[in-house]
Amino acid sequence: MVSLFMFFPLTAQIHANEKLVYSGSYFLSGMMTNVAQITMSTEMLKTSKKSYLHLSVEAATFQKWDSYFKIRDLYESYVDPQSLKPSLYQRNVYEGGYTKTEKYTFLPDGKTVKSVTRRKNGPVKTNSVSINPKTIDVVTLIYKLRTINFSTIRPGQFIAFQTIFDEKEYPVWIKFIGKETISTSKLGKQACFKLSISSKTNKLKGTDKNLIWITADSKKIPCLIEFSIPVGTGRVSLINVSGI
Amino acid sequence: MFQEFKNLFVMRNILIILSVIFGLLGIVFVILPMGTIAFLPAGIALALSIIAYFVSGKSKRKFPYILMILSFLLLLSAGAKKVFVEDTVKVEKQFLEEKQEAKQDAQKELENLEDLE
Repeated sequence: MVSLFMFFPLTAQIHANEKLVYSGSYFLSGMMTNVAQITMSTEMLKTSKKSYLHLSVEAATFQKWDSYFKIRDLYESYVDPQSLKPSLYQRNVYEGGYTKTEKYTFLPDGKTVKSVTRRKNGPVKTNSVSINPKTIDVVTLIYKLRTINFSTIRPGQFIAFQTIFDEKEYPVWIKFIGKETISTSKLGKQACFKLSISSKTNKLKGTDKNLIWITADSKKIPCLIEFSIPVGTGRVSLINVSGI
Repeated sequence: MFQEFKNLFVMRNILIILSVIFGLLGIVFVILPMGTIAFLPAGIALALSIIAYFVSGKSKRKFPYILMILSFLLLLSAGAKKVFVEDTVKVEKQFLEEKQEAKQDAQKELENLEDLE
Protein backbone atom coordinates (compact mmCIF):
# COMPACT_ATOMS: atom_id res chain seq x y z
CA MET A 1 0.00 0.00 0.00
CA VAL A 2 1.40 3.36 -1.00
CA SER A 3 0.34 6.44 0.88
CA LEU A 4 1.10 9.73 -0.76
CA PHE A 5 3.02 11.52 1.94
CA MET A 6 2.97 14.68 -0.08
CA PHE A 7 -0.72 15.17 0.72
CA PHE A 8 -0.24 14.90 4.47
CA PRO A 9 0.38 18.09 6.46
CA LEU A 10 3.83 18.35 7.96
CA THR A 11 5.01 19.53 11.31
CA ALA A 12 8.53 20.57 10.56
CA GLN A 13 11.06 19.64 13.19
CA ILE A 14 14.04 21.04 11.41
CA HIS A 15 15.63 24.06 13.03
CA ALA A 16 18.40 26.45 12.10
CA ASN A 17 22.00 25.79 13.19
CA GLU A 18 21.73 22.01 13.24
CA LYS A 19 24.84 20.16 12.20
CA LEU A 20 25.24 16.45 11.54
CA VAL A 21 28.63 15.08 10.55
CA TYR A 22 29.03 11.66 8.96
CA SER A 23 31.87 9.45 7.83
CA GLY A 24 31.32 7.83 4.46
CA SER A 25 32.87 4.41 3.86
CA TYR A 26 33.06 2.35 0.75
CA PHE A 27 33.25 -1.45 0.45
CA LEU A 28 36.52 -2.45 -1.21
CA SER A 29 37.49 -6.13 -1.40
CA GLY A 30 34.90 -6.97 1.25
CA MET A 31 36.27 -4.43 3.71
CA MET A 32 35.18 -0.90 4.56
CA THR A 33 37.48 2.01 3.96
CA ASN A 34 36.72 5.56 5.07
CA VAL A 35 36.55 7.81 2.05
CA ALA A 36 34.75 11.06 2.81
CA GLN A 37 33.12 13.28 5.36
CA ILE A 38 29.53 14.34 4.82
CA THR A 39 28.19 17.34 6.66
CA MET A 40 24.51 18.23 6.83
CA SER A 41 23.80 21.65 8.22
CA THR A 42 21.01 24.18 8.46
CA GLU A 43 20.91 27.93 8.87
CA MET A 44 18.46 30.79 8.43
CA LEU A 45 18.68 33.10 5.45
CA LYS A 46 16.73 36.33 5.46
CA THR A 47 15.85 38.35 2.40
CA SER A 48 14.07 41.69 2.46
CA LYS A 49 10.66 39.95 2.47
CA LYS A 50 11.04 36.38 3.75
CA SER A 51 13.05 33.96 5.82
CA TYR A 52 14.29 30.68 4.37
CA LEU A 53 15.80 27.63 5.95
CA HIS A 54 19.05 26.92 4.16
CA LEU A 55 19.65 23.15 4.08
CA SER A 56 23.05 22.04 2.93
CA VAL A 57 24.78 18.72 2.37
CA GLU A 58 28.50 18.86 1.83
CA ALA A 59 30.70 15.91 0.85
CA ALA A 60 34.49 16.11 0.96
CA THR A 61 37.03 13.33 0.63
CA PHE A 62 39.44 12.84 3.51
CA GLN A 63 42.82 14.45 2.89
CA LYS A 64 44.49 11.04 2.34
CA TRP A 65 42.28 10.53 -0.76
CA ASP A 66 42.60 14.05 -2.19
CA SER A 67 45.69 13.22 -4.30
CA TYR A 68 43.93 10.22 -5.88
CA PHE A 69 40.30 11.28 -6.29
CA LYS A 70 39.24 14.53 -4.73
CA ILE A 71 35.57 15.22 -4.07
CA ARG A 72 34.11 18.56 -2.99
CA ASP A 73 30.35 18.40 -3.49
CA LEU A 74 27.86 20.91 -2.21
CA TYR A 75 24.11 20.37 -2.39
CA GLU A 76 21.92 23.14 -1.05
CA SER A 77 18.26 23.90 -0.80
CA TYR A 78 16.41 26.99 0.40
CA VAL A 79 13.05 26.04 1.82
CA ASP A 80 10.11 27.46 3.71
CA PRO A 81 10.96 26.95 7.41
CA GLN A 82 7.48 25.59 8.21
CA SER A 83 6.41 23.50 5.22
CA LEU A 84 9.91 22.71 3.87
CA LYS A 85 8.66 23.66 0.41
CA PRO A 86 11.74 24.39 -1.71
CA SER A 87 12.26 27.67 -3.53
CA LEU A 88 15.81 27.17 -4.73
CA TYR A 89 18.16 24.22 -5.11
CA GLN A 90 21.85 24.51 -5.94
CA ARG A 91 24.38 21.79 -6.68
CA ASN A 92 28.08 22.40 -7.05
CA VAL A 93 30.04 19.24 -7.79
CA TYR A 94 33.78 18.61 -8.05
CA GLU A 95 34.61 14.92 -8.45
CA GLY A 96 38.14 14.02 -9.56
CA GLY A 97 38.39 16.95 -11.97
CA TYR A 98 34.81 16.71 -13.22
CA THR A 99 32.69 19.70 -12.33
CA LYS A 100 29.00 20.38 -12.57
CA THR A 101 26.85 23.20 -11.32
CA GLU A 102 23.09 23.20 -11.21
CA LYS A 103 20.54 25.70 -10.05
CA TYR A 104 16.82 24.95 -9.90
CA THR A 105 14.44 27.80 -9.19
CA PHE A 106 10.98 26.64 -8.17
CA LEU A 107 8.73 29.24 -9.79
CA PRO A 108 5.74 30.63 -7.85
CA ASP A 109 3.24 28.91 -10.19
CA GLY A 110 4.23 25.65 -8.45
CA LYS A 111 4.40 23.77 -11.74
CA THR A 112 7.70 24.88 -13.21
CA VAL A 113 11.35 24.68 -12.34
CA LYS A 114 13.80 26.93 -14.14
CA SER A 115 17.12 25.16 -14.37
CA VAL A 116 20.57 26.54 -15.12
CA THR A 117 23.28 23.89 -15.52
CA ARG A 118 26.90 23.76 -16.53
CA ARG A 119 29.13 20.68 -16.93
CA LYS A 120 32.93 21.07 -16.72
CA ASN A 121 33.93 23.67 -19.34
CA GLY A 122 30.73 23.31 -21.33
CA PRO A 123 28.21 26.04 -22.07
CA VAL A 124 25.65 27.27 -19.56
CA LYS A 125 22.31 25.65 -20.37
CA THR A 126 18.97 26.96 -19.23
CA ASN A 127 15.85 24.87 -19.28
CA SER A 128 12.32 24.86 -18.02
CA VAL A 129 11.00 21.66 -16.46
CA SER A 130 7.32 21.01 -15.75
CA ILE A 131 6.84 19.51 -12.33
CA ASN A 132 4.21 18.22 -9.97
CA PRO A 133 3.28 20.95 -7.45
CA LYS A 134 4.60 18.74 -4.62
CA THR A 135 7.93 17.92 -6.28
CA ILE A 136 10.95 18.52 -4.07
CA ASP A 137 14.72 18.36 -4.52
CA VAL A 138 16.90 15.61 -3.05
CA VAL A 139 18.25 17.72 -0.17
CA THR A 140 14.75 18.60 0.97
CA LEU A 141 13.80 14.93 0.65
CA ILE A 142 16.49 13.92 3.15
CA TYR A 143 15.23 16.48 5.64
CA LYS A 144 11.58 15.61 5.01
CA LEU A 145 12.28 12.06 6.16
CA ARG A 146 12.82 13.52 9.61
CA THR A 147 9.33 14.99 9.66
CA ILE A 148 7.44 11.74 9.02
CA ASN A 149 5.12 10.68 11.81
CA PHE A 150 6.02 6.98 12.04
CA SER A 151 3.34 6.25 14.63
CA THR A 152 0.74 6.38 11.85
CA ILE A 153 2.62 4.08 9.48
CA ARG A 154 2.68 0.30 9.57
CA PRO A 155 5.78 -1.77 8.76
CA GLY A 156 5.80 -2.61 5.06
CA GLN A 157 3.91 0.53 4.13
CA PHE A 158 5.33 2.85 1.46
CA ILE A 159 5.46 6.63 1.40
CA ALA A 160 5.77 8.28 -2.01
CA PHE A 161 7.65 11.43 -2.90
CA GLN A 162 8.24 13.16 -6.18
CA THR A 163 11.77 14.52 -6.64
CA ILE A 164 13.70 16.37 -9.29
CA PHE A 165 17.29 15.39 -10.08
CA ASP A 166 19.38 15.94 -13.22
CA GLU A 167 16.47 17.95 -14.63
CA LYS A 168 14.12 14.97 -14.48
CA GLU A 169 11.32 14.10 -12.13
CA TYR A 170 11.60 10.78 -10.30
CA PRO A 171 9.17 9.09 -7.98
CA VAL A 172 10.91 7.97 -4.78
CA TRP A 173 9.38 5.39 -2.46
CA ILE A 174 10.24 5.17 1.19
CA LYS A 175 9.35 1.83 2.71
CA PHE A 176 8.98 1.73 6.48
CA ILE A 177 10.55 -1.59 7.42
CA GLY A 178 10.08 -1.32 11.17
CA LYS A 179 11.97 -0.57 14.35
CA GLU A 180 15.49 -1.85 14.94
CA THR A 181 18.14 -1.20 17.59
CA ILE A 182 21.55 -0.47 16.15
CA SER A 183 24.94 0.46 17.57
CA THR A 184 26.36 3.81 16.56
CA SER A 185 29.74 5.28 17.41
CA LYS A 186 28.28 8.64 18.45
CA LEU A 187 24.95 7.75 20.08
CA GLY A 188 25.68 4.23 21.32
CA LYS A 189 22.83 1.69 21.13
CA GLN A 190 19.86 3.41 19.63
CA ALA A 191 16.32 2.37 18.76
CA CYS A 192 15.74 3.42 15.16
CA PHE A 193 13.15 3.49 12.43
CA LYS A 194 14.48 1.48 9.51
CA LEU A 195 13.58 2.79 6.07
CA SER A 196 14.29 1.54 2.58
CA ILE A 197 14.58 3.94 -0.35
CA SER A 198 13.82 2.99 -3.92
CA SER A 199 13.36 4.93 -7.11
CA LYS A 200 12.84 4.45 -10.82
CA THR A 201 16.43 5.36 -11.54
CA ASN A 202 19.57 3.40 -12.30
CA LYS A 203 21.37 5.35 -9.56
CA LEU A 204 20.05 3.07 -6.79
CA LYS A 205 20.41 -0.72 -7.00
CA GLY A 206 18.63 -3.69 -5.48
CA THR A 207 15.57 -4.18 -3.31
CA ASP A 208 15.96 -2.99 0.28
CA LYS A 209 19.65 -2.35 -0.37
CA ASN A 210 19.44 1.40 0.23
CA LEU A 211 18.58 1.81 3.88
CA ILE A 212 18.37 4.59 6.41
CA TRP A 213 18.10 4.27 10.17
CA ILE A 214 16.52 7.28 11.87
CA THR A 215 16.47 7.53 15.65
CA ALA A 216 13.07 6.58 17.04
CA ASP A 217 12.77 9.69 19.20
CA SER A 218 11.56 13.25 18.71
CA LYS A 219 14.88 14.29 17.14
CA LYS A 220 14.72 11.71 14.34
CA ILE A 221 18.42 11.88 13.57
CA PRO A 222 19.58 9.83 10.56
CA CYS A 223 22.37 7.84 12.19
CA LEU A 224 23.21 5.19 9.62
CA ILE A 225 22.81 4.92 5.87
CA GLU A 226 23.69 1.93 3.72
CA PHE A 227 23.68 2.36 -0.02
CA SER A 228 24.06 0.26 -3.13
CA ILE A 229 24.89 2.11 -6.33
CA PRO A 230 26.12 0.82 -9.73
CA VAL A 231 29.79 1.23 -8.72
CA GLY A 232 29.55 -0.54 -5.35
CA THR A 233 28.17 -0.40 -1.86
CA GLY A 234 28.94 1.75 1.13
CA ARG A 235 27.92 3.09 4.48
CA VAL A 236 27.50 6.53 6.00
CA SER A 237 27.77 6.66 9.80
CA LEU A 238 27.04 9.52 12.13
CA ILE A 239 30.15 10.82 13.91
CA ASN A 240 29.03 14.14 15.35
CA VAL A 241 25.84 16.04 16.19
CA SER A 242 25.34 19.62 17.29
CA GLY A 243 22.46 22.05 17.55
CA ILE A 244 19.73 19.41 17.78
CA MET B 1 61.10 -40.41 -1.42
CA PHE B 2 62.49 -38.38 -4.35
CA GLN B 3 58.93 -37.55 -5.50
CA GLU B 4 58.01 -36.37 -2.01
CA PHE B 5 61.09 -34.14 -1.88
CA LYS B 6 60.29 -32.76 -5.34
CA ASN B 7 56.68 -31.98 -4.30
CA LEU B 8 57.90 -30.13 -1.21
CA PHE B 9 60.38 -28.17 -3.31
CA VAL B 10 57.63 -27.12 -5.77
CA MET B 11 55.25 -26.29 -2.94
CA ARG B 12 57.90 -24.18 -1.18
CA ASN B 13 58.60 -22.21 -4.37
CA ILE B 14 54.89 -21.61 -5.03
CA LEU B 15 54.40 -20.45 -1.43
CA ILE B 16 57.37 -18.09 -1.68
CA ILE B 17 56.21 -16.64 -5.03
CA LEU B 18 52.67 -16.11 -3.71
CA SER B 19 54.03 -14.60 -0.51
CA VAL B 20 56.15 -12.14 -2.52
CA ILE B 21 53.15 -11.20 -4.71
CA PHE B 22 50.88 -10.62 -1.69
CA GLY B 23 53.70 -8.78 0.07
CA LEU B 24 54.07 -6.40 -2.89
CA LEU B 25 50.30 -5.90 -2.94
CA GLY B 26 50.48 -5.21 0.78
CA ILE B 27 53.14 -2.53 0.22
CA VAL B 28 50.95 -0.85 -2.42
CA PHE B 29 47.89 -1.01 -0.14
CA VAL B 30 49.81 0.38 2.84
CA ILE B 31 51.06 3.31 0.74
CA LEU B 32 47.61 3.97 -0.74
CA PRO B 33 44.89 5.19 1.67
CA MET B 34 43.11 1.83 1.68
CA GLY B 35 42.61 1.62 5.45
CA THR B 36 42.21 -1.86 6.90
CA ILE B 37 42.18 -3.48 3.45
CA ALA B 38 45.99 -3.51 3.62
CA PHE B 39 45.70 -6.13 6.40
CA LEU B 40 44.39 -8.64 3.86
CA PRO B 41 47.40 -9.00 1.50
CA ALA B 42 49.88 -8.45 4.34
CA GLY B 43 48.19 -11.14 6.44
CA ILE B 44 48.10 -13.60 3.54
CA ALA B 45 51.78 -12.87 2.79
CA LEU B 46 52.63 -13.56 6.44
CA ALA B 47 50.65 -16.81 6.54
CA LEU B 48 52.21 -18.07 3.30
CA SER B 49 55.74 -17.16 4.41
CA ILE B 50 55.22 -19.02 7.73
CA ILE B 51 54.10 -22.14 5.84
CA ALA B 52 57.03 -21.74 3.40
CA TYR B 53 59.38 -21.48 6.39
CA PHE B 54 58.25 -24.78 7.87
CA VAL B 55 58.12 -26.55 4.50
CA SER B 56 61.69 -25.49 3.70
CA GLY B 57 64.66 -27.56 4.69
CA LYS B 58 66.70 -26.20 7.61
CA SER B 59 69.39 -24.83 5.29
CA LYS B 60 66.85 -23.02 3.06
CA ARG B 61 64.84 -21.13 5.65
CA LYS B 62 66.58 -17.76 5.30
CA PHE B 63 64.43 -16.30 2.49
CA PRO B 64 61.03 -17.37 3.94
CA TYR B 65 62.25 -15.97 7.27
CA ILE B 66 62.99 -12.58 5.64
CA LEU B 67 59.55 -12.68 3.99
CA MET B 68 57.98 -13.42 7.39
CA ILE B 69 59.68 -10.41 8.98
CA LEU B 70 58.75 -8.11 6.07
CA SER B 71 55.12 -9.26 6.07
CA PHE B 72 54.93 -8.74 9.83
CA LEU B 73 56.35 -5.21 9.41
CA LEU B 74 53.72 -4.57 6.72
CA LEU B 75 50.97 -5.64 9.12
CA LEU B 76 52.43 -3.35 11.79
CA SER B 77 52.57 -0.43 9.32
CA ALA B 78 48.95 -0.99 8.27
CA GLY B 79 47.92 -1.12 11.95
CA ALA B 80 49.94 1.99 12.84
CA LYS B 81 48.39 3.89 9.92
CA LYS B 82 44.92 2.88 11.08
CA VAL B 83 45.58 3.95 14.69
CA PHE B 84 47.71 7.09 14.26
CA VAL B 85 46.62 8.62 10.94
CA GLU B 86 43.38 10.53 11.53
CA ASP B 87 40.73 11.02 8.89
CA THR B 88 40.68 14.76 8.34
CA VAL B 89 39.26 16.99 5.62
CA LYS B 90 41.51 19.71 4.26
CA VAL B 91 39.84 23.10 4.62
CA GLU B 92 40.22 24.79 1.26
CA LYS B 93 40.00 28.53 0.81
CA GLN B 94 38.62 28.16 -2.73
CA PHE B 95 35.82 25.85 -1.61
CA LEU B 96 34.90 28.20 1.25
CA GLU B 97 34.81 31.12 -1.18
CA GLU B 98 32.63 29.15 -3.59
CA LYS B 99 30.23 28.36 -0.74
CA GLN B 100 30.03 32.03 0.21
CA GLU B 101 29.51 33.00 -3.43
CA ALA B 102 26.75 30.39 -3.81
CA LYS B 103 25.01 31.83 -0.77
CA GLN B 104 25.15 35.38 -2.12
CA ASP B 105 23.84 34.18 -5.51
CA ALA B 106 21.04 32.35 -3.73
CA GLN B 107 20.02 35.47 -1.84
CA LYS B 108 19.78 37.44 -5.11
CA GLU B 109 17.90 34.62 -6.83
CA LEU B 110 15.42 34.34 -3.95
CA GLU B 111 14.79 38.09 -3.96
CA ASN B 112 14.16 37.97 -7.71
CA LEU B 113 11.79 35.08 -7.12
CA GLU B 114 9.90 37.04 -4.47
CA ASP B 115 9.39 39.85 -6.98
CA LEU B 116 7.59 37.39 -9.26
CA GLU B 117 5.11 36.40 -6.54
